[in-house]
Amino acid sequence: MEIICGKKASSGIAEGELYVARKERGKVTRTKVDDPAAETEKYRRARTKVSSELSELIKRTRETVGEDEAQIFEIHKMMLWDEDFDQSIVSMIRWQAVNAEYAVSATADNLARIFTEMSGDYMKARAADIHDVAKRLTEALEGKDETFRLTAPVIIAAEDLTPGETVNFDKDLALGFITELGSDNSHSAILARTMGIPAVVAAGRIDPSFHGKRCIIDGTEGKLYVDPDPMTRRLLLKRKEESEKRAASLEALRNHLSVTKDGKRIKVYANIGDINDAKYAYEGDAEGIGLFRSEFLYMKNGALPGEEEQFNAYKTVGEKMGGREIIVRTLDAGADKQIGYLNAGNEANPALGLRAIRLCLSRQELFLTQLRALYRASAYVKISIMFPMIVNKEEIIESKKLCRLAMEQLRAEGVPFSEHTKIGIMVETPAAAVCADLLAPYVDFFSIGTNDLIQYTVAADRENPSVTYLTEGRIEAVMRLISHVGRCAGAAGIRAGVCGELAADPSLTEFFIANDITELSVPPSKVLEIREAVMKTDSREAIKKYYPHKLQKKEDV
Amino acid sequence: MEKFSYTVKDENGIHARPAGLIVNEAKKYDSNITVICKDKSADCKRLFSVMSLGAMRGDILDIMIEGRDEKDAAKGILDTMNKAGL
Repeated sequence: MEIICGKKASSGIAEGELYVARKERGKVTRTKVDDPAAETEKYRRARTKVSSELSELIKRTRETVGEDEAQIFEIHKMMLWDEDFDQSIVSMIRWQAVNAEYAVSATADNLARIFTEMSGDYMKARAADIHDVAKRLTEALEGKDETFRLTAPVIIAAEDLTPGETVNFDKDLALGFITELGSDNSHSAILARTMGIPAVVAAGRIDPSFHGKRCIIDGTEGKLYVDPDPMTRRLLLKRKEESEKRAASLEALRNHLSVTKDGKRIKVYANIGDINDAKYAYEGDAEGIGLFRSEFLYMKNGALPGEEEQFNAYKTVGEKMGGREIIVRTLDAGADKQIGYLNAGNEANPALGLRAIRLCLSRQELFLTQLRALYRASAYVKISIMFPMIVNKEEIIESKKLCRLAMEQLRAEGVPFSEHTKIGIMVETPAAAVCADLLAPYVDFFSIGTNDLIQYTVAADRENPSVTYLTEGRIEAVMRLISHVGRCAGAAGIRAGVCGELAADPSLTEFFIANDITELSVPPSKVLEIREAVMKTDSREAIKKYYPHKLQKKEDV
Repeated sequence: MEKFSYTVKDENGIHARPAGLIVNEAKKYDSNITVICKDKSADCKRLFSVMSLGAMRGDILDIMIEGRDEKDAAKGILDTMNKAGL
């Protein structure tokens, strides 16, 4: 038995075969090519592709794992661009008219031999670096798209899963994810929570020889057991059974409304990030979509999505949700969600830079396209529009001006839309939270994005392991802001919801209800659990218990 | 021509990372930069060339620099090696 430890990213336990998406390199065959010049061109293009892959990997590794590990990939990139490496490949293609794959792999073998013949184990191990680079190159040459084809249910192990890699495999065949890199905010983690399957991230190197082995993934503890011994297996499966029993008991709440003991209706919605996720939200019995992250549309094709494509996406999600409300968050690019072609330039501090609504207001033509698509969809399904990262009322006024422009254009064109489309904002900056009473008159609803609100309130990056002690657990400053926002909304007669991770914590449901929060948007797999928490709550008692800013007695401090 | 000698201190020798540092520094200059170790010589601007010297702890590297910016290059490379504790 081997145990791989990482960070927990999505809870649950699953047993199955491990599918290592990054496998040992295959055998490359030698073939003769007719046009060596074209073959050389092919190799050069593959080299450029691998080089940008490596740059991305260096960046992500530096952010999520560490500097030393990132330097390994820096060396890989230098090897890729090394003149000797390049010359050997090019001259083999030219003079022997062999295929580029063969030239790459033969060159790598020759260079690797120099190291394996050296004294010192450390030097010998460098041969693996060369093979790694060659493998990336041959894969790029073979045009192997990085999506893997699954035929049976498996636990997927990968370096990291990008949105591009996950769109094309059959998600129903994924029992769980474990990634070498990543954080609990990375794509695979969010996807796993949406699907309700376990995930472990930042696990470090996963030996490709584990491919096909029987494993148990424990997302609750952040561990992967390879070939678990019978004792461990029994214990884990017992825990799995218990959590399944619990899930089964929650099933009784399906098709019920989420109402408190004293009859207050709370909307339990789901967060989604993709058209396909709507299926999980519907199956999870979400009463609507509280946060539809529209970024995926912009990440998919490496180019701006057109109005028609967006319109279809919003309409499809609405239809899949059977006419329930869909709150679409307009493009939230920048900071941790960089979209290459929208590059805001080199910012010293992207989290505080040109992102989200700021980017949209600076590129109004792009924003208008999205708004037109949203209004067009509103003729068919119940769409609400939500602006991210709002700081002051001027941003709302400016954004609403564009909404009016979109409506006027559509009206002039005779295109149908709903005049009653609601407009809301994400409250995720301390500025918006503190001034919630001043912003309320301009909008129909608030949705508190706790992830960003936490990080901007405590001035600490949630991805930085050295400061997680500031961002995890109960944070009084954030609780007070949430309480203030909820009360301001209540006083102004508008709706306030919470999306972001805190919404899915059942121990906070009572607190939210006590503070005039009437909508909780959670991962689809958490809907029933939060509904249960709502049904256990009596809002009058909750208010008594959580009356805000209750001063602690001096001696407690 | 500039010339200096350097004794390798890194316990793993001039493996991939140190070789990378030397090559990156060498590429900044116009001068031709050659490193000799035992009976082998290498072009300092080529990663595999430098790595394949197989320089281990205690080996002496002779570095020869010839060109228009040889003085700056000699200083730059020596600084890089000292700073990285190679």
